[in-house]
Amino acid sequence: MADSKIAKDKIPELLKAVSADYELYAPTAEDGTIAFRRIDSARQATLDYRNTAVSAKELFLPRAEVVYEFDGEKFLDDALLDQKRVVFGMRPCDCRALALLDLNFDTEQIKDPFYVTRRQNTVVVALACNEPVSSCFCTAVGSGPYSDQGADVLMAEAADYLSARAITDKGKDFMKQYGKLFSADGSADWKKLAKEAEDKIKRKPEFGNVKASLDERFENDIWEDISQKCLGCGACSYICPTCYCFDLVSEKTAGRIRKVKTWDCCMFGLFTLHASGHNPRPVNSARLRQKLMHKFNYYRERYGVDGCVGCGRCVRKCPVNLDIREVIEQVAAAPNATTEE
Amino acid sequence: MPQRKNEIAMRNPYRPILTEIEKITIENEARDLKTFRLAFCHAESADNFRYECGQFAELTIFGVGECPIGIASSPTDRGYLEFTVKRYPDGLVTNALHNCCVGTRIGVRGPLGNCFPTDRMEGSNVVIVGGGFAFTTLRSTIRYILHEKNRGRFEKVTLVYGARSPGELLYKQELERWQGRDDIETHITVDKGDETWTGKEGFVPAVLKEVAPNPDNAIALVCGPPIMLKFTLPVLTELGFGSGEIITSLENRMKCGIGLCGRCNIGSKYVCKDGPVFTYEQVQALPAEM
Repeated sequence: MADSKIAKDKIPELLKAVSADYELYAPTAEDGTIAFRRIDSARQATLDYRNTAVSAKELFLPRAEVVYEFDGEKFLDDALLDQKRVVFGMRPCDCRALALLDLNFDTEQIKDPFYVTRRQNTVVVALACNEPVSSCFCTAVGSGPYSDQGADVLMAEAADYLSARAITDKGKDFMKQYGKLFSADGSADWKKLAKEAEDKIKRKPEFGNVKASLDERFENDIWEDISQKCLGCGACSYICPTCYCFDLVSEKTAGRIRKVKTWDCCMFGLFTLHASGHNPRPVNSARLRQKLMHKFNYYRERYGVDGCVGCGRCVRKCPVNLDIREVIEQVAAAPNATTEE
Repeated sequence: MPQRKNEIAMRNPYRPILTEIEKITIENEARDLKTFRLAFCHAESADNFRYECGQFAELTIFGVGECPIGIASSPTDRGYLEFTVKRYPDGLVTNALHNCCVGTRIGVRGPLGNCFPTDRMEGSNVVIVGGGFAFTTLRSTIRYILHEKNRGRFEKVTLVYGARSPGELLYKQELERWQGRDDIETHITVDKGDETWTGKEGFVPAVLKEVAPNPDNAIALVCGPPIMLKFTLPVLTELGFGSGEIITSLENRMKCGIGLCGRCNIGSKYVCKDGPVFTYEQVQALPAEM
């Protein structure tokens, strides 16, 4: 399907039409920050933004979600998402994170029906990133400001219009549905735009051999060094688009019992604590190592790809300025006791 | 290890099936080990719950929580499941379970994880080494092997099982029955006996060394506390067992039990999904994070 375009001043009209047909989520300005919120025609989306503070993963993996409810005799029907949704304006890094999450939650053997239903019922309209910020490093982890992975439609901002191209069948249907608001001559020079955006990413850390260097450095003093200033607060996991580890918590309500799936984080000591008191990751350095290993070693081993999209949120929000790009470089540069003895 | 194929498609993997406590057996003198026999509340659950020796399940006390426990009954035991659970002072669910009485509703999710390689064990001598209360899935295996339909498929069966004291041995009546059979060689030992104890005294590794099972055409299943494993594995190696012929079962804090929640990994392996059963060879390849 050829690219099409829509004038910027027609965006409110598009969003109004979409919100009449779908639950519509878009970046909104809220308390001095940008967040994905459900919007209707009355409330304007903010498209002038770099990225949201918290990633869009919460639209697919909510912070807390009831996975079953039991009345003492029988289970109530699962509260699966039955609305059709559109998420408008997700950045390519967050869209790619969905493709990575699919690898864990939508497998041949096991499917998380809550996640899978949310994915199936949602059209992801991505907005390419023309102004990456200094903490972005998507190009170092196999993504880019114009990556279309995980997106159904990719849009790119040019002078006074947005170019749009459908990536998936779901995206094609979306473009067909709202075709009358678009004009057909939207052919943009995607390659040139992508190149311009990529060139703005000044820092390109070398992540190519990161798995191998981590393989050799599970036992290494560097973890103790690096973890000295880490508070173990878990902010990095909270805002990360690919951190998906969760807890299952039992709750009692009036006459009902339910199981709630909540975000959890490997940086917390309780995460792996056994009932016996034994903890296989008893110290912060072991937990920081786990976080790095999971993303850059185990994920690659299991799925052939790193569990990071380079959105840079953890770099921007870490209260003690632990920069994952520097951490990876420091680990790679650490003397390797096993091979250099 | 053989992986049990999970035929669940979009079924809700977090929802347990319903069972009811049918019988509670206090197993030890310290009274912190109980075996719970759970009866299925619905006939179709009983039919669908097909498990193998070495697998585990997540037990739910509704409104309290869920914990992973190895299945102590054998696939040949029909119509019920048995779990032997140790009560830990800080264990929310194990405490709640120990306070339950017969008739309490218990949720069960499973069977989960892989299993002991009964296919590889067929036609082989089987050496079973257990210590303390890490004897539950081994008990499942022994019950399975000794079942009249299965016994012919396995060669010589040797059991070395030990506990701290006579009162801490699990499944006492069953042990006595096994000792009276001629198709299983049993060596039951305690670290220190009491005035009534007439059996063996000594640590499991020492007794194993004395028994010296032949490694030819043999597979060893070993489960016990870390300290027992530490001293038992070298004995088996010394006897000539290859690291691929020594099988053990690992534990971790498994929450989802299906490889999704990211909690129970050791290196890139999830104990819940890639295990809990591993060969010693596989364990040696894992990072030291246990």
